[in-house]
Amino acid sequence: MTSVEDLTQSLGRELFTLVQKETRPIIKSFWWKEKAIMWFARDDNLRTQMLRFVDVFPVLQTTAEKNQHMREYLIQGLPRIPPLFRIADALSRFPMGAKIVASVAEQSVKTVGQHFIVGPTSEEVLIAIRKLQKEGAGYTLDVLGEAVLSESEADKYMQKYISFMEQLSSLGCPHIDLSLKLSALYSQFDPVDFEGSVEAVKNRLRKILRVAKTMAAPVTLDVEQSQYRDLTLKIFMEILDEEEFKNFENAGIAMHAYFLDSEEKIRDLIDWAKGRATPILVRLVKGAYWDWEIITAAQKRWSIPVYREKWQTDASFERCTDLLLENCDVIRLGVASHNIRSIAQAMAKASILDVPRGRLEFQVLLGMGDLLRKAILRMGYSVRVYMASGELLPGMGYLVRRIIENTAQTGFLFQSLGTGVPVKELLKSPQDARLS
Amino acid sequence: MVKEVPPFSNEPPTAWSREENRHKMKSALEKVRQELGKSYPLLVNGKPLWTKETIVSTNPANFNEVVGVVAKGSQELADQAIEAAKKAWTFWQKVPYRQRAEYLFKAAELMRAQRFELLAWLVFEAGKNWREADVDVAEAIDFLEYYGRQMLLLGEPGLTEAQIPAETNVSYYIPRGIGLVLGIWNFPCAINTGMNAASIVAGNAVIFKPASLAPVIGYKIVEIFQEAGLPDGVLNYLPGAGEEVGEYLVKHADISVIVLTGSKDAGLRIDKLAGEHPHRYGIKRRVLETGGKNALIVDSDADLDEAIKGTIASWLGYQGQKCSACSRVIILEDVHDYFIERLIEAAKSLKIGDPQDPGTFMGPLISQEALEKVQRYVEIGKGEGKLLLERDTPEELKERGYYIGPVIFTDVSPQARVAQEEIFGPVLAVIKVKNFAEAIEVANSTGYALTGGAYSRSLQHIKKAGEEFDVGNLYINRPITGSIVGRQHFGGHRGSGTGPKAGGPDYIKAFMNEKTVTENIMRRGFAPLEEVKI
Repeated sequence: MTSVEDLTQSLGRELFTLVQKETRPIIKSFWWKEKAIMWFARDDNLRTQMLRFVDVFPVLQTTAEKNQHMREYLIQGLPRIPPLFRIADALSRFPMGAKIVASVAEQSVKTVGQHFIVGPTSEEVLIAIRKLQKEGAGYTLDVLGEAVLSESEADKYMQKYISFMEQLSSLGCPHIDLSLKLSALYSQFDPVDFEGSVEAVKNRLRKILRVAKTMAAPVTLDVEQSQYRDLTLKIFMEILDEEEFKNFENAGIAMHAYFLDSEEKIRDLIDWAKGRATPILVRLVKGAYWDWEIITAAQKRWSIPVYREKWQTDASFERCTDLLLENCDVIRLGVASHNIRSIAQAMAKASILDVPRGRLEFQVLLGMGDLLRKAILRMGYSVRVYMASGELLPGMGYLVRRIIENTAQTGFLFQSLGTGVPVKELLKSPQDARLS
Repeated sequence: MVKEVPPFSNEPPTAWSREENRHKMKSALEKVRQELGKSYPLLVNGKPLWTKETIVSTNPANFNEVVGVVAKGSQELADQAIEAAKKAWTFWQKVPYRQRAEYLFKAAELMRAQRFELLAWLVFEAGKNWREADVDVAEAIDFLEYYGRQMLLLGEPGLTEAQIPAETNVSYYIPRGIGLVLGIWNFPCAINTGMNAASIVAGNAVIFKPASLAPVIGYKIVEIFQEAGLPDGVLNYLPGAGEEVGEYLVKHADISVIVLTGSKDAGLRIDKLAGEHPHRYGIKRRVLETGGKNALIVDSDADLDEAIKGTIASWLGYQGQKCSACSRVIILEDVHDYFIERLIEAAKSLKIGDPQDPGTFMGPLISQEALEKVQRYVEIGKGEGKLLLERDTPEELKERGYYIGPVIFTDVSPQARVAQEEIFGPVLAVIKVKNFAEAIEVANSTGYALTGGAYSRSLQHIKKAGEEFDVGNLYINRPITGSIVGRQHFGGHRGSGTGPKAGGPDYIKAFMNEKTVTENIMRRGFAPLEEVKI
């Protein structure tokens, strides 16, 4: 009998070869993207200043403001100024030059934004959905918005989700699939008022789920920072226990693997799911708020709730995958990682457990896993693409997280992009990676 | 045997996302509710003293509920307290500083052990919500740990900077004598603990007159010091009327250091009285932390989500009854309308209610007097600017508590009274400006200089704010309240206080005298060789 590890290795190699095949033609046409990623990943100062600049850029109105900020962040703010910025700076001293530089900057920020975020209208979203459909990939839609600071904004946000569903449906979109953050459904979302927050969120969530139910549209709750995790789980379970949603087949929740107690929480969720008539979707992610968790815990002098080492999170991810796959009678698992090792491990485990195909899928982020997506599809698995839609300004938090992931040296993207990391390294088990 | 003292670190805030903590808080509220209405004596020379006259402390969210009935000091009792303090000081000043610091560390430990109960007292007596109460107690613990360690640093005599051969110059800090601590109600645990701890650890014997609006928490603090083993008479608890007992003590010839946190008017009055009525042998030291008219500047390139959140927290946290609270927003015209529109909606969404309910963001004001003062300013503001929000509160709250909702005035002139005077409530004056330079100018145009802040992503403007915004505590891209001991030394200048800053390294020095001893060790042209440093 083949072991999970052996199978992981062979599936991983297959996946890697497929990714490389996809990579070559694409990288040729987008070589500059690769270059930019490498460039930022190698220089921490540059990366930070660039992120800050992109972050503030959408609010800048005038050419003068744009040039001023560019000078402050990318010239004065850097110990080593890249030649490209020097040229831009020199150019911006002339009126015509200033305009050109500002507009090039604007175009660049927009291009980066469009790479990760789909425009705010349902038409734009539909085009993106159709594109994916042609490839055979599914999607889930995250509607980006500014922070919800008031109840009227929470209502608006809820309404936005409902209208998206209605509009997409009237435009003839065959499957509607949503992901949403509960902090956007209640302006006073706060664990100190646990019961109050649960009730207030449920009131709005119910309205979204009602519409989703009529369309059989999957709705997955994103899990945000650790302080909201128990709240989110509680809301998820309580609302699905309600008569109205007891049999709702398309409810999902994201679970993070980077928490020290990830497995415990997943076990609780599985125990609860066992009492339901229909399975639930679990999107397993490593976790997108790692820096935030580490910084916040240090600031408040709380114990750090997440694993500190990457290999630990990777190992936890595999344990969580196993746990969820072992309970595939009540769980449909979405493995949401861009790491070839993690993906291959899930494939291997599922194959050995004989998990039905419909109970396992892979999820990638739009703009990040494009090559992977194609490779996974070729291997005959389902893929769902997490697609964020919105304006650049309110989408900035999302965008910054994506750029951070894309330019992290420990990230798989950096390692796989022609940096010459051998496939053997990439497929190492987390325990082996620990030793190296 | 002196225990190794670990380096200072701040007391962590309570993690409310943990169910066990929420549960502990609920049980503490339940427990303290059973204890409401009890009587509390004066504590003079460690002995309880009961008086005929009393101060009744009520719950500002429900003024029919008596939190505690506290004995009320008179001038005669004040004399007794002075005698007790004088007697205690004869030995207390000689207790080694390490030992004095130990009492503070012990008190911190005791406070930690009853943290949730103290939180509950703050909910009932001060009208603080859970989070605000938590910050108050955490800061009290920080003050104890911090001032204790500061004393350890300052206690040891040291050579002065410039030494010469055959002469020794040694400098050290000695206690001043009898201290008077005039308490405050808005951070009744933190600030009162801090003022008392600094006075005591410096080697003074203290008379603590708590604010009449929060005397029970004051009693709890003194009780904790007693439990920590502080010798009798070192800390005497003497509630009483400000005009009668407070001023009598301020003028008393045996008081040598007075520390007060309060309004600018109160500070000036005490400064004057203390000046006119000196100590038996000299000038009284005054440590005054007074008001603020704090401004937040919102730049045109600010992250407005963050700026709105920060404004709400700084303006409405504890209903605006913080010295550091934001009462002016100075905003660049390009973002004015968008900002205001969202700010109003955000302010309307906050829960106003009984602070026992964990969902409450805004509780009551502290007293009828405070409420009337705020109402007066709202009327004044109506004549000075455009009233954009005057949120009403439900009748059932107003019937039993001192409630008022958030109020916003826009188009306010920088010189308007609502933009110049400390209101100490949820009233915000919004001033529109053309550019950042003008914003700084407006920010600096009051008689206060306590806290201030700016939301901006222009490095140049951030630098300018750092250089030109004249305040004691400047915050960039974050709320302007919530200073943390040892992290943000807190205090201002102009009408905001005399300094030194609380929670900073200079604070406890104000409660001591520095003494420099110079000894000429050359006799007839001869000095011990090792003393001749060439």
